[in-house]
Amino acid sequence: MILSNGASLAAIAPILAVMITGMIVLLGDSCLKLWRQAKWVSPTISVLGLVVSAALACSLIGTSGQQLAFSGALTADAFSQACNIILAVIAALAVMGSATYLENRGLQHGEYYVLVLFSTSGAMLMAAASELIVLFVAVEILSVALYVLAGYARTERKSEEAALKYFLLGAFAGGFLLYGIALIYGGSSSIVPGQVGTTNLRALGIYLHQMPAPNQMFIAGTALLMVGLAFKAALVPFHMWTPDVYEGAPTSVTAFMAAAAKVGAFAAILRVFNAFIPISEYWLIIVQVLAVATMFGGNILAVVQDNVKRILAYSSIAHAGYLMVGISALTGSGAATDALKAEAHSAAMGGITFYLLAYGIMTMGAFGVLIWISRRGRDVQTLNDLKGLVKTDPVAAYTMLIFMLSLGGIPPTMGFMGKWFLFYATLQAGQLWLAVTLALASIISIYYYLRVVWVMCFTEPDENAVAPGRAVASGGVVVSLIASAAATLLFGVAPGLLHSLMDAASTVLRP
Amino acid sequence: MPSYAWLIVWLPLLGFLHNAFAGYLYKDLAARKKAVSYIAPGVVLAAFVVTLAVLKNEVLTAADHRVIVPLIPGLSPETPWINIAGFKANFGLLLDPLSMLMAMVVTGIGGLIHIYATGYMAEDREQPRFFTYFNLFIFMMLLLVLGSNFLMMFVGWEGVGSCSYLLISFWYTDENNAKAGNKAFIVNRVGDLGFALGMMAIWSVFGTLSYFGEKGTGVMQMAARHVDLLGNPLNIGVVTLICSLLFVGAMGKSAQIPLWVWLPDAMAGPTPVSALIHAATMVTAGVVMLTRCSWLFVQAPGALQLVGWIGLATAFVGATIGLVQSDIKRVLAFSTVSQLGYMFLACGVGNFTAGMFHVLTHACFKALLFLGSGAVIHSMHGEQDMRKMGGLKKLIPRTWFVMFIGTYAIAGFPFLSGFFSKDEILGSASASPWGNGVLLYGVGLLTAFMTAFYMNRLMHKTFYTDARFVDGELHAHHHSNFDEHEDAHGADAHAHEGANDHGHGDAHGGGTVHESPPSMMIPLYVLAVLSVLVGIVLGPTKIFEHFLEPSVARLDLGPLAEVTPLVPEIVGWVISGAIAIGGLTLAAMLYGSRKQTGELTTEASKVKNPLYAFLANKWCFDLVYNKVFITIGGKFADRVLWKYVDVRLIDGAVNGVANAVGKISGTIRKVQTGYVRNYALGILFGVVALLVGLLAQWTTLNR
Repeated sequence: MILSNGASLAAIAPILAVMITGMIVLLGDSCLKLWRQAKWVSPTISVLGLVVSAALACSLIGTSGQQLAFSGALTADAFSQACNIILAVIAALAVMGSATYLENRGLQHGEYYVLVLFSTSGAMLMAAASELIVLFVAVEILSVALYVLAGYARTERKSEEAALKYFLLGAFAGGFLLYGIALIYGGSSSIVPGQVGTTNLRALGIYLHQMPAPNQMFIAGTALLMVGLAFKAALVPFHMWTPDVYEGAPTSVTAFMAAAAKVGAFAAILRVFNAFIPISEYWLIIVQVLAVATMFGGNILAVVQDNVKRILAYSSIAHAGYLMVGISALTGSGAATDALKAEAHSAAMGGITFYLLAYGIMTMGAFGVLIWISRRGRDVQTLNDLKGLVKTDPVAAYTMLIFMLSLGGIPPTMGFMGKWFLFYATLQAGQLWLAVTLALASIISIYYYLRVVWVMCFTEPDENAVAPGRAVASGGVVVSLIASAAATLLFGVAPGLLHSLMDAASTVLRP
Repeated sequence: MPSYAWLIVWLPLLGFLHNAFAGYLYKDLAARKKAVSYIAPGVVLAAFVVTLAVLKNEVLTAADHRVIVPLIPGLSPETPWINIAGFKANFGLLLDPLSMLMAMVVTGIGGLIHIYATGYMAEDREQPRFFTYFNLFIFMMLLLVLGSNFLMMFVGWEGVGSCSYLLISFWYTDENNAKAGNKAFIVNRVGDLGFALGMMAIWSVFGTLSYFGEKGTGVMQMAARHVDLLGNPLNIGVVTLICSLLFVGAMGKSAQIPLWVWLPDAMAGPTPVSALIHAATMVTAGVVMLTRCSWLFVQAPGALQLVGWIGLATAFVGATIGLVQSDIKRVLAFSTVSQLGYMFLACGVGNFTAGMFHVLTHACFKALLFLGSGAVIHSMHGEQDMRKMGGLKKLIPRTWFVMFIGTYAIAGFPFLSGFFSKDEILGSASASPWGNGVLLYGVGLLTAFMTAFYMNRLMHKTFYTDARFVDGELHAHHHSNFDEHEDAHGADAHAHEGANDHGHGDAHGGGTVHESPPSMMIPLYVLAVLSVLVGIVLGPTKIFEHFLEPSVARLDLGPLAEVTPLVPEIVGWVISGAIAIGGLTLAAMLYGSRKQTGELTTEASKVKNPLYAFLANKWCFDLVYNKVFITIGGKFADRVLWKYVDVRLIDGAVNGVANAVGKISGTIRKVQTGYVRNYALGILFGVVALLVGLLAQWTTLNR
């Protein structure tokens, strides 16, 4: 269904809500003195805007069908609305977790929230983009804001270094992405004789379905497109920036970056590869190799780290690997009949959607605990800082325990259910070996997650660690942590409550 | 109209949360204990009131007296709890006469026991912890009986098991208590495995775990139509397997041979625990489960027969061991085992209603007896050995009176509640569809005779014979996880004693025998009234039978036919009454003539008597289990599983892999130099790899 321009605007209302909120905060903060002085105004308005966005997405998720907005440049379907909800939740958690943290580090400026909101809208656009050019623009909207955020602690060398690294490498990868799109445009012109090229994913999907015989140019374009997205999603070997940037950026930024950028990237990967399913015999093996390399690379490298932020960075790489397994399962390559293939497809769609939400919540939670226990003037960075936390701050320690168990995929948490869904989808797709690999890689991850738990619970507090003192964060971060922890447990015990979200996401995008 | 049934389940959970976090809410111990002692019984009694309202407004007005309502208010009962790969379980509560009956027993009798426990546990410093577990137990038990599918029952099943474990070893500083908790937990695992396997078998046959569903899609509805998920006729062998596996679960939870050994040891817990969990509610879960699955069981005559034989054997064995016990609570424990055997006997001959009726009456009088014995123990400052009691009738006449009622009720004295429920069971045993009615009836009567005998023996040893202690010089045996010294100086604990209406200030010195406080006595009076009335009001009037009818399958639904009883009902009453009176009288004669010692023979002659030794050793069940599972099994575990399999194979492999991972990790981290140029090179390497890979694939496919 192709929507008129007015209806198109209505269909992407959740994204507009975020953008408009961003502009309001930008203008209000720079023009109104009162606004600037009352520190709570910007975060409050931001959270309100995000709540409105999530509510709009919730109300629109029921209007099913592939609604093509703006002549097919965006697809406002249930999947994109589901991603909007996930991203709004992540951004709201990030804003709530940031306020007092920034203030105590002397970083409290209105533009922080503006940047968070703009990059959120970029990630939302990535999830909705069905035109590769729009996808590129969305990636840049997301990234440019993130580059600035990474260097937000201007006076700290590490933060500046992180921003510069991220920017240089991001620009490098962005070039490949754009070149890939150009090659796909050129390559697609010869798929159907007499057609000019296209960069519209929907059109490409239809062409490829009718005639699954791409030429070399098209394939090379696919490879470069994959590179650009793999960089955003931090897949091995395009992951090297991740630990340095995550470590250097202020913790509140790291949390948001880790969660939102990954959700956006995977939403885009899912859209692209879903359209390319007819030619999956070309790219499937590459996706699987990337998945295995990412799972093992992330997990193995995390084992020797002593810096918690770096551990979480490698852990986020490993989780990208698990999600790639889900992408591989989309194809249902090993399933015997078409009916089974369709079943594998919808299981993978539901699984990826659930996993994205789970990943977002537990990552925000884990970084949120680090924010919570940071003290004025010093961030919690190393495992040493967490020693004996259960004695000095039991509530923080137990909350962290929940997120660590969830990230490790131990029941009764959301992380477990998410991994279970991916595992199941992979089995449905007939890719037994990949499922086994997923399980093996997760075993390695247990080591470093439990190492964090061990340090917190079974060692004595270190005197040289962050000195006890007034917490830099309170209020918002506590609320966001409690909400994340409760959601992690609740949806781990009763994943059925998210059934409608998963179902809505998996009914669209049928091949 | 929205249903309020969810409140029944959520109220005890709220109580649990309150008690668990009482430490945060009230800084002062006395205030904390006071708050807990109001909240804990309060939520259970409130749940009882809600249960009555729901029964009247929602269940009795519904078609078939059956409704399924959501566990979480506002959701539809069809909202899935888990929906994975076609496996679906709902968050529903099934309200029907069976679940309502059990909900009333659990919250009603449970509420009384909660009130009692506020008095019994008043001095314990860890009283909030006790009530935390107690409320959690009620929540789990309600989930067990009210859940609309097997999975929810299983959650409750495991939950009550955990609470049972926690409460048996409540005074964990005594190693025996901790061991008793372990024993209960481990033995129950065997049963739980059976239940879990049974559940999986049900899933594979019926494709659902819900008891009842829309348009006849529930397990029970399919079983009633003799069809499985695909509409094929049921295979009797498969149904027998399912039922047998479920029965293994029931054996564990309800202490039937061969998994009964944990129940007597479970008496190590505080007495209210024995009354609530190990007599009135949890141990009857097996009977409830069988009744819930009666639609399946009537299709599987083999499984039903197994249930009957096991029930009969357990009733008989339990009663014989009860004859020789000297610990007051252990007598009651074996009597519980034996009475549970009766209930399974009733189920085994297809009369599930009679089994449930005995569950109800037994809950009343066994709770009464346990709480009464708790009052005796409380009065005796923690003494449990009947050889050191005697003559208490004069000292604590009120306690004597309620115990007297309980004893006559369980013995089946005419027109008390035990009389009607037991007679119903014996009558249907004589009408056994297997043609062995004479045998079942005979052994059942013999067991009833023994029951009457050992219960009156208990009364004589405790109340009528001469005192075998010196009043005023009793040694305190009070259980606590803190030693006396610490306890006496725990300032707020002591302050609390004065504030309480308990009048137990002499607890730590040599004490005199005294009546229990009102908080303990009032529940006893209520239970005594129930023990007298429940039978005669609900039994002969057939009210109970009609009430439960929609929840229970008729025997003739399956291949079996009903048989007429051996004797008409009136004659049966006369025989049962005579047996009960006979047993009571024999005990009265034997012990009445030995008032001084309260013993039939000397300790020396007891030791020589092989039959006594055999019974005192509990038919050697524990000896054999120890030999086979602990000694031989332990050696196997030690030498083969641990030293060979675990240390060499598993640890070797795991440590080897872990070392390898660590080495690899240390090596490849060197790539992470921190220079942007190197990272860009990494990306370029990836680009080349991807391009080459995809183009190579293209070449292969287009050759």
